[in-house]
Amino acid sequence: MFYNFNKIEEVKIRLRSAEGHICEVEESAALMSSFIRSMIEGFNEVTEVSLPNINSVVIEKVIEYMRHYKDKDPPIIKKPIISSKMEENTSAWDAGFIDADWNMVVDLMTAADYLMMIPLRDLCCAKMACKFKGRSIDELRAEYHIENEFPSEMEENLEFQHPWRLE
Amino acid sequence: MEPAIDQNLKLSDLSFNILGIILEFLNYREICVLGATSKRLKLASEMDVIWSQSLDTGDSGKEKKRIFLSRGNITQNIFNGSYQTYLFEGHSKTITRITTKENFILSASADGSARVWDTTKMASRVLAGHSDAVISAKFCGEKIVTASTDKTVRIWTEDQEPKILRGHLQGISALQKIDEDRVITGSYDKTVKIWNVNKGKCVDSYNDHSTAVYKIFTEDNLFASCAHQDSKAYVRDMARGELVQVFGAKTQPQAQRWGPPQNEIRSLYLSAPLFFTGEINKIRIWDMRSPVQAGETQVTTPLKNMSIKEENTNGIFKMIYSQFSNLMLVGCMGLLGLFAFDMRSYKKSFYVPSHDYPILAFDSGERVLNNIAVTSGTTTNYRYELSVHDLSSPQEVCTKFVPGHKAVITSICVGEDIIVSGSKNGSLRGLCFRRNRDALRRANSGNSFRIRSAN
Repeated sequence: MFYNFNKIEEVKIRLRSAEGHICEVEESAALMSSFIRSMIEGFNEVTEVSLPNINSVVIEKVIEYMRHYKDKDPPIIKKPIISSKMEENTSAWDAGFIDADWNMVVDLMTAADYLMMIPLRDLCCAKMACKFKGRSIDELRAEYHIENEFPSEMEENLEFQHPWRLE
Repeated sequence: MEPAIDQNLKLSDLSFNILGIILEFLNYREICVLGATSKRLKLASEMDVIWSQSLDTGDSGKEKKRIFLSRGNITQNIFNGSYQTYLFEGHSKTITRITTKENFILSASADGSARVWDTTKMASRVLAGHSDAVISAKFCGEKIVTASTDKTVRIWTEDQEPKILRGHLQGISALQKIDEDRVITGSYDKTVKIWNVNKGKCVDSYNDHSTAVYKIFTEDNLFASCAHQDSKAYVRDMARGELVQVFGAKTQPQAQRWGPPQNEIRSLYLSAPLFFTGEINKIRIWDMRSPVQAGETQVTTPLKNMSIKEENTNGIFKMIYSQFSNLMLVGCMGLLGLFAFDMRSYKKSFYVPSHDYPILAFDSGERVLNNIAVTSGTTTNYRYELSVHDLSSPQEVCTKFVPGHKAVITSICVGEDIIVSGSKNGSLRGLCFRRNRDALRRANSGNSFRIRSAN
């Protein structure tokens, strides 16, 4: 008791993932999420938050982001983005952090939207926008398995509507 | 770990909220490309939020997107050189002014007639009756107003005889439209008159000037006028009828006793609260809210001065502000091409000497085609050409067209999808860049049409 008096440990928030796995994060870092903030401030001495729709891999990634921006503001990404490389649009750490495959980015974005972390959500959206930047219609359709939903006469209509269709 | 989900499902499962944020990170062209891939993305690309920064006129995101796309089509056609030519036959003397409205083209000529041309019905109508040169013609609601050096203004309706408005004691030198039922004229009799087109009478008359009125510029409720050999410009408020201010730099004592003052005003441009006057090689910017010093009747210190330092400048005849690229485009006598000032730094932005002989006319489009500027000029082997500037990269791209005139091009008009040019011998030609490929396919590129009207 006496021994512990001088170094009060910071309260840890326990995040329960979809699989039931528990990840711990410091309270000051967790407050970055408006969702967790409202959970903690609404009820006294709540230290466990259940996140049934986020899996533990994504939670670990979110916690990594929370810890990095615990004491500083994340950089704001300018709209519209200038390049299809993330390094040229934002800081090197952010670009390295978001350098993941498509599914991971989508999961992270959904999680950030749920947790109401606007800077992380914008970072994910910018990463997705990078993947779309400078691509033609056919490339995009092939890459993201988008079926051609437009009927053929509509397709012709699109062709003249879109000046850059045939480039 | 859950199994990897098909990417297709993921992209279309995203909410509109998220799609909106993603699209906001892309530029307008990329938004349009992404919007063409699927129905859901098409709907997302028409959201108002995405287009809120766009300067295009239009209420909804859908409308702004449509304007953006049709402009893209037209510029694409211009730079690919796919266009149709129109030849309008009928005028026998210099074309003085051309205006367009939708698919109609209105031309005024020194032969005493104005003509309306319909490019879809391939028909024309002659508005003949003036006994002297028609200096300008304007669409005004359903009516057409013409002004002539024979001292009269005429109002033409669909089928009736024209209504003749008399009042000026000398020939008319300038005509501008104020709104759907009022026009304003300036005359050699030193007065400026406002006419109501529907009632057919003179509403107001001002005699500020001591010499013949040279040019008039209108914007909303304000109009500015300047006179020959005068260094003062008057700005008036039409709603209240009162004088806003007189602007003009201090006149230097001149070496010679005759001739115009050195800072004679040659052209005007109004964009409240700023007022621009163009002189021989200088543009002065005035703040219309600036107070007058005690004992003075006119403002003599401009907000900014911008000068053209090129050689042989001989009077700025037209100034157009391009909101698209924040440039003040200047047409100046004696220069070989388009000149532009950057309105952020008030310094020269570019000068493209694209012709071999000085330019005589220049115009920049208004609504859909607001990103191009066209100048007319002459080559050394006496071909009369138009050069087109893309204002998104004005220094590099410069496409040239030779419409086929046999004399100097005196006036140009950039319409929604047509560039019309008129020459000194009365020939009038149009280059039509279709807004959609479908229409261009139906009437092949390179086709030429001929509309003939009675002499």
